[in-house]
Amino acid sequence: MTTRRAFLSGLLAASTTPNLTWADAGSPAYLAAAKLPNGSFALFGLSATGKDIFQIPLPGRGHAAAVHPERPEAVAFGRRPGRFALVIDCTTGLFTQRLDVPNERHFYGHGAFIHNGEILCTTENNIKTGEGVIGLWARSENYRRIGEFSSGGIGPHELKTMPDDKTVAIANGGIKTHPDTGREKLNLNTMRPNLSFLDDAGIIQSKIELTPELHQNSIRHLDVSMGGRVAFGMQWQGDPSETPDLVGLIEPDDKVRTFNSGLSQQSGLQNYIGSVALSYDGNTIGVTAPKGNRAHFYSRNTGFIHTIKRNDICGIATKNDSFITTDGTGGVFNVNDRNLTILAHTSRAWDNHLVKI
Amino acid sequence: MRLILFLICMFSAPAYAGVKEAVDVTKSFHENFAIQAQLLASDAEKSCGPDFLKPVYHKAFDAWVTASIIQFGPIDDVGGPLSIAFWPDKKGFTAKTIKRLLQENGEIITDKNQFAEVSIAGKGFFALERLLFDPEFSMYSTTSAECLLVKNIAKDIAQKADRMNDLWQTMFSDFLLTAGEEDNTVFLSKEEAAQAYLTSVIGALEFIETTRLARPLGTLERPRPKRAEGWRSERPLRNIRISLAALDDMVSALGDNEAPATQEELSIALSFIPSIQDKSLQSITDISVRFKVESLLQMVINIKEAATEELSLHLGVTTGFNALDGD
Repeated sequence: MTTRRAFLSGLLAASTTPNLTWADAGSPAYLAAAKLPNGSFALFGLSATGKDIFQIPLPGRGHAAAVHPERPEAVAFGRRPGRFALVIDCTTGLFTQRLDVPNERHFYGHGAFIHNGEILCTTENNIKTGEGVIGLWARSENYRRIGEFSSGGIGPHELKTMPDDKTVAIANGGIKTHPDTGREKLNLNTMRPNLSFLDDAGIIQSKIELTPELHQNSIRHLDVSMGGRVAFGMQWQGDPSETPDLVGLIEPDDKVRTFNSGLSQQSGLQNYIGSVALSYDGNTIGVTAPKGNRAHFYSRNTGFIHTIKRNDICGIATKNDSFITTDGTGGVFNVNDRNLTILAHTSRAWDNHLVKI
Repeated sequence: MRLILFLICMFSAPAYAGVKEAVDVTKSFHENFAIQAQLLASDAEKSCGPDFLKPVYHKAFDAWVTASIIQFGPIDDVGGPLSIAFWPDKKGFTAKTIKRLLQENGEIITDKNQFAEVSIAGKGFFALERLLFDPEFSMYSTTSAECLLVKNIAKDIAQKADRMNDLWQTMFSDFLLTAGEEDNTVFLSKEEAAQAYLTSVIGALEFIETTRLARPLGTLERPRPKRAEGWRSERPLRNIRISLAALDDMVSALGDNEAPATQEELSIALSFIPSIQDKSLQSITDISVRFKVESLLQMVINIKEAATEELSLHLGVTTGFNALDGD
């Protein structure tokens, strides 16, 4: 027979259960979505050596996941324009919550936590105006939507939390889209991308824009170092015969620099960066170019370092003092010196992003 | 329909069956390019006069256009395709680089080490085209800096052709043929080797479509004939014809003759090309010529669509999962 005391202690136990950590999910080092050989989709937890830690089926193609800083919890976003996101308990593989974006909004594919994991920020489109929006969701209230603010531009894609845990860096790609026309780009002639830093009150702390002749260089992906440097990657929407800089670095004092790898190497990128990772010390940038089937590495001090070739390479994340990559042909690789060394190879197709936990 | 496709997948020839044949075709393309490039270099050494060199220039460039449909592997060891044919050149880097080299009294041209460092815009077939075909540059004497530059560029092309051919005849072919074997670090599975060829075929067709055709066509209101590839040497249509013929060979090899729609579309385009009178595509401002070139563009799109479907099915692989995502 359950006594009142036992019932109460049971309740307490239930309420402490959420205090699990990533160790309870097997301590994965990375998350990545993939398409499986049978055509279905799943989210994987990977060890630092590329081994599977867990596999959670997804209802459709994933794009990226927002990782909770402490709890074994991930929020998976589908490809844009998505109407919902799923909160996944990575210890059980269960979907614990479904985030439905309000009417007149859709997700753009990325999210990030601030305030020690209490608030989830998501990149969204205001369908009526085409203005970029950052949606705010309170984790302790079952991810209730508690508000939103302007992203500081059009077409926000990736966003990352700054080291102060209350500012987000947002890549406003500048490209206007509308769900009625799918992924069609509606404003290529007038687009004007920027990289905005917004605090937790939605106030723009700073906004970085490129020179006018680069207004068709869509800033879409970024990464942040521990010291607050921000690396970003671009996708050129202008004349394909040009080879503009596609990689940039912002110092904490907002000084911006872009990098070029020289005519021959630069053209190999096919004007398209798919993912960006910045080393912990903020001195080395790794970017992937899935259309060009290669990754490039740049030094903050000396510029272009080298190229690595790999078909359909796209996911990249920092690992110790180097990088780890994933690709559409199932490979997981360490970047060692100037080569790739294989960690794992399967017949699944790794999707765009490899997210570090 | 889905069931039928599934059954086709189950019972078609083993995937990547055509890779061995594709490697043989690639080797023959590169062997020929190395031979023609060597002839160009040795003839240039004999005499640098434009009239003497033009025929051998065309033959070498033909061989490169053929070999250039394979866009992976040894090409990266010589600096990528732009290091052999620097085009498109919207900002006019080739002319600027040549002028700079000539102004500096030929000093850089004479010094082997310095010439190695020259921008790829000042090397390759398009730099040579300027020197041989553009009256602004082509009136040089045999003792001029221009003459020396012609020799050096031809030699540089021959060295690159030789290096690629060496790699294709030995090491790189082995990587493709032993794909998926334990010590193969380049192709981790047989599918990856097949995928490299599929991506290359589709990429080459996209290049013809977007860069060789759509770019010079521009819009009806504003055609851009000077954006045609190699118009100074009357090569725009020639390059399209040669690359389609090379793709025809490659599709036959890769598809084990099981890509009938692709080959049909290729033969439609190849037999249509001679009906376009203006080989340099400089009269696309004329509506009747424009109409013909637009028809050719549509034919190339048809080839690409057929190849994407048939070759993917036959080889059991698709082109880039991430490359095509666009996010």
